[in-house]
Amino acid sequence: MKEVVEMWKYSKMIAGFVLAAAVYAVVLWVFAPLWIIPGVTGIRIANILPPVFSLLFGPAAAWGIAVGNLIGYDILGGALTIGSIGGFIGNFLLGFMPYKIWHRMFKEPPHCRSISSILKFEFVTLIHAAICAHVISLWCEAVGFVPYTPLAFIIFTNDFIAPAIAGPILMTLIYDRVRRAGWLWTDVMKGYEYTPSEVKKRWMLGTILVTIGSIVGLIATVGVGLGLGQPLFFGPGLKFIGTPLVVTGLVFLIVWAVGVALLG
Amino acid sequence: MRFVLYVDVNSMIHRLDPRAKLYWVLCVFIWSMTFNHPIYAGMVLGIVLMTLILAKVIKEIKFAVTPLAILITMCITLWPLFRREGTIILFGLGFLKIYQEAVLYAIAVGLRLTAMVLAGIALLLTTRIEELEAALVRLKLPYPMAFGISAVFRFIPTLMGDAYMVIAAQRARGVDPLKGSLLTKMRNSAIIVAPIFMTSMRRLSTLPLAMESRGYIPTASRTYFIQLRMRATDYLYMVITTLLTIVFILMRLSGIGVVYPHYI
Repeated sequence: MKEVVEMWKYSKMIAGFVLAAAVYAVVLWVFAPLWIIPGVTGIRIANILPPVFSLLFGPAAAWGIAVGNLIGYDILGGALTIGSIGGFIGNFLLGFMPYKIWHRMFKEPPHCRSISSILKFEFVTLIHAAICAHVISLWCEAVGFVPYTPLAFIIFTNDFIAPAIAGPILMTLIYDRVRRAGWLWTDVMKGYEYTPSEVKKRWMLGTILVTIGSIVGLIATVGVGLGLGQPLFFGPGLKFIGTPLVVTGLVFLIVWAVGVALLG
Repeated sequence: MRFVLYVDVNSMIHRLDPRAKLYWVLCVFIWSMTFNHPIYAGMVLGIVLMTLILAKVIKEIKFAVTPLAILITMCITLWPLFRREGTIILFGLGFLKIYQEAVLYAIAVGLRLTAMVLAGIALLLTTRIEELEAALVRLKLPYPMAFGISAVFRFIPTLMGDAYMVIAAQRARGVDPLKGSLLTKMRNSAIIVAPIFMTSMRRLSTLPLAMESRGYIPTASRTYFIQLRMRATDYLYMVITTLLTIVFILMRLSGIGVVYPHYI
């Protein structure tokens, strides 16, 4: 994970950060969100960008997506609340997870020109959507802002559907141009592999734990919420579950963190 | 649509140290989150509007009126569906009940979000990006990050202009990418985002060169053209802001200014 800090030493990575943050903020503004819970979350077409930027710019995209969301959605868009702290971390993970899994697990580049490349793209998109939804919703539940279950459902759907549909199209259009221009993150940060020459066993284990911690964690925590009376959407009365739900969520978050540590 | 927010006017607010203004924005966020009764949330909004009048930039917020009006309308429409508690039922149909308290809460959330957005805009209307960068560095944010964030703010107006040019070009070809169903917008988003991204990448390709040609070394200690110095008026401004924060928190703890005591 040291690339997340090391990237600030490279001027081109800083330019990548500025590019990711500014474009994300602008697209968030241009395709203004259709609010579902006003000031908290809405349908965001701009969400096609995080997995694409992540696979191209690596750690610069992770920071860029987090800052771009803070500026374009929270500050200028009217969603700056106590939930924005979770939002910053969640959006950082939106930009962090796809490249982290890809550069450890998949030997094929993410050009999305083959079925297998598209399937891998959809897999990393699924993981990034699940962990983002889990982290933001868990934070909002813990601070008593918005209940976990409806928020997790909305964020996950939001973060998965748009990039799953339009992400591969966008990737096909820009991957080669970015590669030829020498902007891929491993072209700038020497010593890192864009795709692995061999997949180590601990990276495989790490990916399994990340999958369990994010996808299974999201489903299990939503399950706890539903079982204890928190409705999935507009139910007879939305309420906070509190400790049982937060503890369940945290357990899976720890599993996810161990997985990320194994991915290195 | 205006793309450069800073307005060069000689006002008391403009002359304040950017750190004092950042502190004020932070306090406005705390004030906004303190109350959930519309009268008190309106009072916080009133303070923000007074500040904009004092800064002689009240006319400059015209561009934000329509998005904020949409945000408030969405708040009033949707929040009552999420807060289903209260004593007075205004409207009931089956399991759907709209409570008076929920409507009051919804109005308060709308006003609260408006106050927070306008506070952020007030900061950008009265502070140069260079001053903001210097303030962030003085607040101990690592220089590369402060530089990156200020560069994002600097590029957003330019990229916003590019984005509207791309949209105009598509409209000239008979395609309106901002119209149509959600699925159509999602599908069209890739053909909009790709040119915006490529234009931005071309623009930003010179940034690393510019940085390196000026001897950019992220870890080096630096000197600054802009010298920030806190003066008596800055301290006075911060003291008044702090006192207001304490008073507002005490009011909340005493149960004043709340519709739902158990919600933020």
